[in-house]
Amino acid sequence: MSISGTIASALSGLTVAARAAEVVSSNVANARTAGYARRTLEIAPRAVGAAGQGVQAVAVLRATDPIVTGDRRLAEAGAAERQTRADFLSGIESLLGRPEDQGSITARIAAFDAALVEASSRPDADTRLSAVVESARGIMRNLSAAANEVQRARETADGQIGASVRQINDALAGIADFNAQILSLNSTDRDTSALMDQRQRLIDGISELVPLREVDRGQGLIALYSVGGAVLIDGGRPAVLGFTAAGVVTAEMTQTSGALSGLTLNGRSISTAAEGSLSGGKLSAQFALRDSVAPGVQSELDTLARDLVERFSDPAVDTTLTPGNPGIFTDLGGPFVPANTAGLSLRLRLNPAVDPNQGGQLWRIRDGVEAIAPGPTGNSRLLVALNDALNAPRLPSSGSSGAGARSHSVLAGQIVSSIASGRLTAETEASYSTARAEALRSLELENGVDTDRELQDLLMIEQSYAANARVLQTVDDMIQILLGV
Amino acid sequence: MPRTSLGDLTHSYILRRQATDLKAAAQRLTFEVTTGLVGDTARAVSGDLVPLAGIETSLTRLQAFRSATTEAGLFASGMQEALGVLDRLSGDLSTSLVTASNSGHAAMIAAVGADAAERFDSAISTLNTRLGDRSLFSGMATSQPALVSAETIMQALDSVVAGTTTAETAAAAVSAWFASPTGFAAVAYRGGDPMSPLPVSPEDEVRLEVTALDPTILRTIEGLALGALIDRASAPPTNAERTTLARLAGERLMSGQTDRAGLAARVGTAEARIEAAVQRNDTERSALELVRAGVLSVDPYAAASELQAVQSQIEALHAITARLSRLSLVDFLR
Repeated sequence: MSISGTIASALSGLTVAARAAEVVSSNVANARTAGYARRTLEIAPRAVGAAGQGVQAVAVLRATDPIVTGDRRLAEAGAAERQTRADFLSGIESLLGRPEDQGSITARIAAFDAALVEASSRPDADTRLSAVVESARGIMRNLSAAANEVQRARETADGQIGASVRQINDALAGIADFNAQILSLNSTDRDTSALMDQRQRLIDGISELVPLREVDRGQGLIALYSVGGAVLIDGGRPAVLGFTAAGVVTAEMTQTSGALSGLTLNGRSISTAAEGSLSGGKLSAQFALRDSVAPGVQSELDTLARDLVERFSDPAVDTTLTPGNPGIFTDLGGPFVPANTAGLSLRLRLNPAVDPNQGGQLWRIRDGVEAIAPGPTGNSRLLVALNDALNAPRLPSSGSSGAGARSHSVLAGQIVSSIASGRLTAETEASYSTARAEALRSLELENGVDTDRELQDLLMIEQSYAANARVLQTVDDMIQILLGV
Repeated sequence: MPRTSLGDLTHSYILRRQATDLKAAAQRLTFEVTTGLVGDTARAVSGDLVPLAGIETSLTRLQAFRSATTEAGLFASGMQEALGVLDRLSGDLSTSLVTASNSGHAAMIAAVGADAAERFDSAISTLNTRLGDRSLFSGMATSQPALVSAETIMQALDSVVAGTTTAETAAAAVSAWFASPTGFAAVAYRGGDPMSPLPVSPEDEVRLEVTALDPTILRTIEGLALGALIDRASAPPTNAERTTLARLAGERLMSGQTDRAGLAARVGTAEARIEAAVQRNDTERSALELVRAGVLSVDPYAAASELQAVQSQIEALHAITARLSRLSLVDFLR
């Protein structure tokens, strides 16, 4: 029986060589496929009875490094979180402008200040008065552009949370499906690597949104937990996140007021704050943007707007004003009420009495907002008083820019600075965590397909195939000799 | 663990990342080299933009004060000029009035009276001078001429002196009319309250409060008007009384000379303060511009050489990319 045993062994060698070539071809074909884990063929001697006879392919293995992959996912989630914050602050910062740009908020306040100085030098000149009105309009334009951007960013974040939640739910359902398929294929001993690759891609797709930890449950099954401790999938049915996007977001809408949706996990509401169980990724960054970062910026802008309104609505500055009535700057044309501070920067308007576009009169800038008739044309008293009011140290009525009285332009400078330094911090953190994520990704990619190595393997496969074929030929010669006896 | 393989994607990933970083650096440096300004202002000042914003605000305000001081300077020198004209008008006249009154000659008195009437006329129009749409001596009411016409004033004076028979009573009536708030101030003055102080630098303001109602100017006009009265029918008719009137007018104008010099000096001081403010503003502006340049500008040499370095790095990266892509076993297996 040894000759037929030899034939069987040589055949098994041919088969394994063919199998190995197949694996190599699959690897080479996927050399540039992202998320493809390199396959290797595990071979072992074949035993028939007590004797060894030939070789057999035991399994196709996926070469992965779960630790590196897990770390890379966490780093990517962190980087995405910080980048989201940095991008938002950088957008607001560029809208408020750099102090040296003509269109920046501080430059516009300076232009208003300068227009008042020039007008007090020539109170009789309509062009100077009109420059005061136009520069006041410039401040409001810049403020409302920034405030609009804040609300637009909140709206976008709200929409993106909705999309992220959908994506997570879809991915979790897909992962559960793959888990089931892999289990059933494994029980019939078939190759599950392709399914594992696809499941891997699904996890990678959502790991940026929520930092995930993957746990191997054996049999090719995995469980997914968020780093914060929420069970997303662990056998059976996947968790379901719930969220309702608001569509339109205005300054007054908050999660606390119920106007904006929170997050639910399997129907139970969970915290969306920094210590929540799904925090640490892009999803929680979007919640933070919508619920704290953007409203924080909005309240700074509102503080600035309120300071502006209050400085000019003081009857001690403009003696024609009835106490309680608005000065040059108004809340939608009416008086400002402290309870309505939220969103004031969006509602800031010029007093119709002084705005020629709304049928007002320029001379009211010189003679008083509520003046009935034009006064002497050379009277610069009010213009000087307005200029003093703009530059006088004053304690801001709201906001978090710190204690201490300061002029309006210093307040604006401080608000721009706080946004700029927030942006710088977020950018520095983002660049750290991006660098870490990139390093881990390149480490992960080192485990990927190396065509040079595959070709070397292919050379050996070719040799082994040729050798086994030679064995068969030799056995054939031996049988011919036997038959010729 | 000894490494037996290195994934193909590693190379391209690392090269791509490095190319992106280098290109971003090149873009930033190109901006800095071409504009001479830092690319990221906030980063250059470590996030504290308050001082920079303060500098920009001060510079804008100083720019505004530049036009304010120019205008205030023009206004003050216009005033000075007008006061000079007024002084010349009354100085010459006072001498001829006294000379004529000493001679007592009727023809001379009549001639000096006519001269006084003309000078009174020019004095009023000098006080009504407008400088670029603004009256100099109307106080706040810059849109109005300071005084009504000379003829209107003289007509008012006609009725004031009507019925007086001696030069002394006539002169006393004229003085009373000029001093009374219902007299000259109500009938002839068309301007408003004195102008409020003009800011000329962030700290200084200058007072240019001289109006046509200033006591010195008032006294000068009064003297001129008294002289001009000789020419009017309403004045006491006898030559002797008219001679006395000429003497009174001449004395009044002469005694006002010192006050006029004082008034000119007051305006001169204001002019000097405006000039000082201009100097001060210019000094502050140059100082601030230096500070700003220190914060915002980059060393062009450093930026250019850094750009050069980045450029050669990019070239090296491209060369390496090309070499590496040729290094594949496929090309050697034949």
